[in-house]
Amino acid sequence: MSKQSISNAAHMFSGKGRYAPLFKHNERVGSCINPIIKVDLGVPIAEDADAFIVGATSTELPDTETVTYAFPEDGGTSPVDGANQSGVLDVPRNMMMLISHASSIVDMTVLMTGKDEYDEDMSELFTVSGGGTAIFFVGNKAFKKVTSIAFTSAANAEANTISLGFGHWLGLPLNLEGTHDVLAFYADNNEESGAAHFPAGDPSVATPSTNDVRGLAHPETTVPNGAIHYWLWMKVKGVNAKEDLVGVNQA
Amino acid sequence: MSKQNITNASQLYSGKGRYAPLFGRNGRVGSRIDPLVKLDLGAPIIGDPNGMIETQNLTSAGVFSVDVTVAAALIAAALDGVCDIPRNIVAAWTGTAVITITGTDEYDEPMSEASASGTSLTGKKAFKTINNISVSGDVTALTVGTGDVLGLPLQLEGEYDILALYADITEEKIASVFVAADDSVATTTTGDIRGTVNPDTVLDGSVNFYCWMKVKGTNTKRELVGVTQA
Repeated sequence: MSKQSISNAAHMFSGKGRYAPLFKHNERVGSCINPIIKVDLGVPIAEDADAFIVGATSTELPDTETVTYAFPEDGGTSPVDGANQSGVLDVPRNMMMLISHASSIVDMTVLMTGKDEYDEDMSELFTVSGGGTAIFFVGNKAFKKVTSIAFTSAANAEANTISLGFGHWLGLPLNLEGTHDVLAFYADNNEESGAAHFPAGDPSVATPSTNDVRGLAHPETTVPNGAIHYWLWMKVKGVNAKEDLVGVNQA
Repeated sequence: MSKQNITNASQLYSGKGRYAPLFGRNGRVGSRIDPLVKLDLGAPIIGDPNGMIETQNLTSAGVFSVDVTVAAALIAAALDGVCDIPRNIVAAWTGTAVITITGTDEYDEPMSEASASGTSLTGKKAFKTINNISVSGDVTALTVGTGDVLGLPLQLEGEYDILALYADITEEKIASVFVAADDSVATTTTGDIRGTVNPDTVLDGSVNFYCWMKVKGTNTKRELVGVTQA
């Protein structure tokens, strides 16, 4: 398959139509072109709420300490005995966690560490506080691989119960500036951009608490089930700087 | 109107942003571009179910009850064997038989389509002209005409390559029915080699249809306009 770069410019124009006010604005004759790309998001399997951590509780959780589970090293032993013990995801996607307690959830943090689709180190932090008997966390970053999950508590959190897995929000390979740059979103042959959600790439300096550096696609009408192919038509934020192309550095 | 070919490559890229893992994947800096085309499908008239043959008997030997020959029968009908734009053919008759429609596509390539054994045909292929109609057994009360399924001039790989379908200023890609190209070896019973669309808005000869799509490919004839017609 032959390939060609047609331009190194940040903005492209075509045509020779000249109109002075427009030329003054664009500094080019003709019209601006906005190249778009069809992104193949693959055929992701269904989400799995306890793929990585299955009902961790008692001494599997911290008591004034940090308890860390590594992938794939700790695979096969409770609580790392779910459907995914390698830590490798089928497509870049978000994490999700359910924490519960019989009477009042003990404060703690959950730090997930891993890789994005370009094998860059990344992390995301869930901060648990406020009591209650059940809290559901939905991550905002797309992981391609999970390498460790660290549970930290300043008190005894062994009465909590935690399951942690992956969701159905799909990571993008290129930076999305906003929903206004989404042209269409297909689940097989069904166009569903109206129902889906597209958080933009977070341009702030990345931390474990910021959002995905490139953005996400949230299917809503037709959720992944291992048989549906997703396609996204979008404009990339920019093509001349690494940050515009693939987002800020991961944290 | 001036024209220019900007590239002979299969894939286009723009920009100089360099990120090693992405460059490793693409072999090019910047981002890939997937060019779109805006197709003008015209303002087709409503389908005319007897616009090609107006209620005649037809024998397996090819004799029409009123106009005798197929050429005369086509001329006698409203459309004179020519569709306003490439579109599907519909037919109905009495007496179980297979009907075969022969004609040309919009690029003047010979093509044909056959029904299953029965008493009707709702065609899948887009014809521009009809020049022969034959039946496997004698039939009566035969009507042949046009449907509302419009042909595409370039190959559509899948519905996911449709960005928009406009009926004048109304966007209706979700409500319309797209059928992707059939890229198997063409026979008289396969689908259209480029793909079709049945717009949601009723055709009336005044509503103009525009389709924004990505062509399956631009570097081979087969990707551009589909397999060879049958």
